[in-house]
Amino acid sequence: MAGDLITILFNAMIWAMATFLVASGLTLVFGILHVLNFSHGGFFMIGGYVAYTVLSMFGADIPLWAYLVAAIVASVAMGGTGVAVDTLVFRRLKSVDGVYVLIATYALLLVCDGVVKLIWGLNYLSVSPPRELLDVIFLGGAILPTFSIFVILSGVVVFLVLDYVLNRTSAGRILQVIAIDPWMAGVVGINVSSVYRWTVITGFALAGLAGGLLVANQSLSPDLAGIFILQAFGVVIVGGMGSVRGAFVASIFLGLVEALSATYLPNYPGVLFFATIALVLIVRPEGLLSRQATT
Amino acid sequence: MSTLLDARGIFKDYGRIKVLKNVDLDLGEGERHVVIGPNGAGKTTLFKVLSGETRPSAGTISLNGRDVTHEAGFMRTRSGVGRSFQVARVFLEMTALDNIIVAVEAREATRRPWAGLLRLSAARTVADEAESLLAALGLAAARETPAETLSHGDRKRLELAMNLALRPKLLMLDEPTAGMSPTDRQAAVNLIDKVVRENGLSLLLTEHDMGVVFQLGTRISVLHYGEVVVSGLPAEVRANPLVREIYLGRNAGHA
Amino acid sequence: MTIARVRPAIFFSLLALLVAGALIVPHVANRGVVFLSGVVAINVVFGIAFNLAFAKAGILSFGNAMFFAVGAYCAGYLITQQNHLPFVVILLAAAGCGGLLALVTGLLALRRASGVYFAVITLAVGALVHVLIMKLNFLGRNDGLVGVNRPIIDLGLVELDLARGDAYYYFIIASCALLVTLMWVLWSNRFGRSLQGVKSDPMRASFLGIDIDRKRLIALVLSGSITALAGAIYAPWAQIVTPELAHWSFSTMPLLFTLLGGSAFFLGPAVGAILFGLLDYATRSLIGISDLLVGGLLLAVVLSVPGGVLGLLGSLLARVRAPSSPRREGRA
Repeated sequence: MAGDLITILFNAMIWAMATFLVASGLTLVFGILHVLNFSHGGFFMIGGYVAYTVLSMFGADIPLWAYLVAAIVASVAMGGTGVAVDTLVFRRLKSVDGVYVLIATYALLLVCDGVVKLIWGLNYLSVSPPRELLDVIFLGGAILPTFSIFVILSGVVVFLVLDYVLNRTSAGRILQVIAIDPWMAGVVGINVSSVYRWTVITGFALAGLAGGLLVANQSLSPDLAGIFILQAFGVVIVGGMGSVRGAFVASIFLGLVEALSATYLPNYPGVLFFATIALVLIVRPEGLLSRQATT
Repeated sequence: MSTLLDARGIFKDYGRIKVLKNVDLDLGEGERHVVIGPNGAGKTTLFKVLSGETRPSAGTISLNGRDVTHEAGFMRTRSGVGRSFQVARVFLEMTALDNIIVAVEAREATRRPWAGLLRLSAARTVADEAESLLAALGLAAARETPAETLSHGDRKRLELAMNLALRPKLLMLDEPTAGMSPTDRQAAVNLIDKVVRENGLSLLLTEHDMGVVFQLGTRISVLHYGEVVVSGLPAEVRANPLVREIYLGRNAGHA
Repeated sequence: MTIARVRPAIFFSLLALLVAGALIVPHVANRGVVFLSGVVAINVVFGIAFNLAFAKAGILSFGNAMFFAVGAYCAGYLITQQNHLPFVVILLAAAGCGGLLALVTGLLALRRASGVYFAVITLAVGALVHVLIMKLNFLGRNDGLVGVNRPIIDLGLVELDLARGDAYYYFIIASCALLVTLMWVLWSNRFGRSLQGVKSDPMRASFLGIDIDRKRLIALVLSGSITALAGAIYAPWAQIVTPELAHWSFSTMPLLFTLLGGSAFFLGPAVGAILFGLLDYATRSLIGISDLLVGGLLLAVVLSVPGGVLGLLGSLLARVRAPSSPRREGRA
């Protein structure tokens, strides 16, 4: 009985932190640029495939350092792609109705899908966890793979670093000023366009990092982008659109929903998840965890 | 004189900020009631509450003796209230004539929701009515001009024409002469005076310019920090020492 | 350009041109092209139904694939399981299901969330519908429904056997022309003008006595039920219905048709669907690039020709005309 409970909580945390890794970059870009980037899931997926390609040099026996290097390579590659997307898409659509930006990123997600199909094909690919993380831990009747613990820790570390940067550093204060009033920030001498660029780069690098860190967490297929972007959207919506802390809490909340759903409604994956999101939107359209607007 | 609009004990808070505090305001048929007050006194908020754009935090509003406190803005419009905005709201991408045609059709659709849906072009009678409204407000030359290229003053007149197209009993104008030159302002006042007279309308307006206030108003209420401090005939309000102190003192030269 | 004077002659001659072109296809092309041409006709309805909500009422939905899929599955299920039902009843049921789904989505989300948020919600609802379709036994789970036969329409005196030869193709062209005409009426009449007012300035529209929430809801329900009808017409044409129809990537199609052709024009999505059909045919040998093609094309259109092909033609025409008729300005 205790084992079941631990398993549910553990599964909830795996789902939560895997999703938070993807949602972190999405919510960062949304919070600062107010662009809801559909293609984020696509670049997360490509990050995974890049890491897969790097790791395929090691065969089945992957050392932990190589796994981490692959994640960093994916992260750098996606950060670089972020520069291209910022220049070609976000900057060009700055003065257009937000709806068109959304459509553009939606199209970009499809392009990512197409690129993956073209380069890596339609088949499922998989990477085994690093050799140091193949063990399992037994805890009160539950079986906890060490790799899954690694995924959970990765999510927590990324959250702590982001939270520190956003709330405790001068860069974070600048970001918060820009998020609230970019025009005023420009007036007081902040180079808004350069901050936007670095935000996009960071967001994309986070997508790549998530792809690399999670490459052994699930198999790779062109469906990965769609699955994760919807989970991440759920987290961003419930977390109050654009708040990293909100996204972190929301991912744990939705992770619990998902784990309970997997245990008690195994035949209908996702139904409880979407129902919860719908409920949150009905009760509090501004998100479960957002502070009430004062104006 | 029967009461057209009656608001009792209106409060409106935005979070902790109390914008309206126990406002009573009424308007009789044929009356021209002007709400004045310094910037930030809550005039526009009062307008929003009375027109149904937002709900009051407390208090009741009745229209023609019917309680409309919880009725949406469009429902109040349907029962005879036309409303303008400080910055005129018109359909920018449509021509001036089309703007009025949409307004006339909206009125017709309220009356007979299912009639004429198979008709494509606007009905002859609708188009003629729109044309005559354009002419009446001196916009005949702008007939085919998209509203986005009209001047600020022309947009205000277009908005007035759209409101007249609804054949309202009560016209609510939020600072109808804001941002106008003195010449345009006088023309606007004359126009409002004319349409109110010709259509037998009642008028509720907020205004900054004291000249406009005393030319158009038959009754004046002074709003100060969200409270009505004085309400009465123009002469009474003008003579009121409190009003002089808080408001007219600074603008007496205009009056 | 006034929206109060509508000229039916122009619309009907363009529609006649399109129908005539479609009717020639079976006489000059092979079966593959005839199939594609039928799909294009259905896509024209799919695209215009989307744009009725998008351009006219300002509602962006990423969930139109779910309306299409619901219509297709409804028709597929009734044809395979309840084949005694008249086809017209099946079509009406499909339209009803699509309309109901749109109504529920709209009631849940339309009033609370506008623009971008509404789009995300439709995506989530679409994903839910996709999951349900893939998990429900009576809808064939991952495999979908096969053997969706083309029906026989019993008109009392005569029977129309749509399974014979190109009969179903002609049925598609006729029904799509009818649906396009219906949407054109909704686009052009008093209802369409008031929708345009709601999109242009909701506050002004509301203070003209227009119930803007209701107008938007009606627009979404019309869009959803007509899209479901397109799906229902599609099912017997493909003779198979699969969960891919409900996948989010399929919702990009009407968006692409609309933006490619020009969202400001009633027939914009039609032009887009036809152009895309041609492009799809030209690249048919390149397997596996369809996502890249759809996504890349949509991206290119949004970035460089936001007015679409018709918008581009319009501005080119204006530029050609402008120097030759300088008197136009003086005639105010």
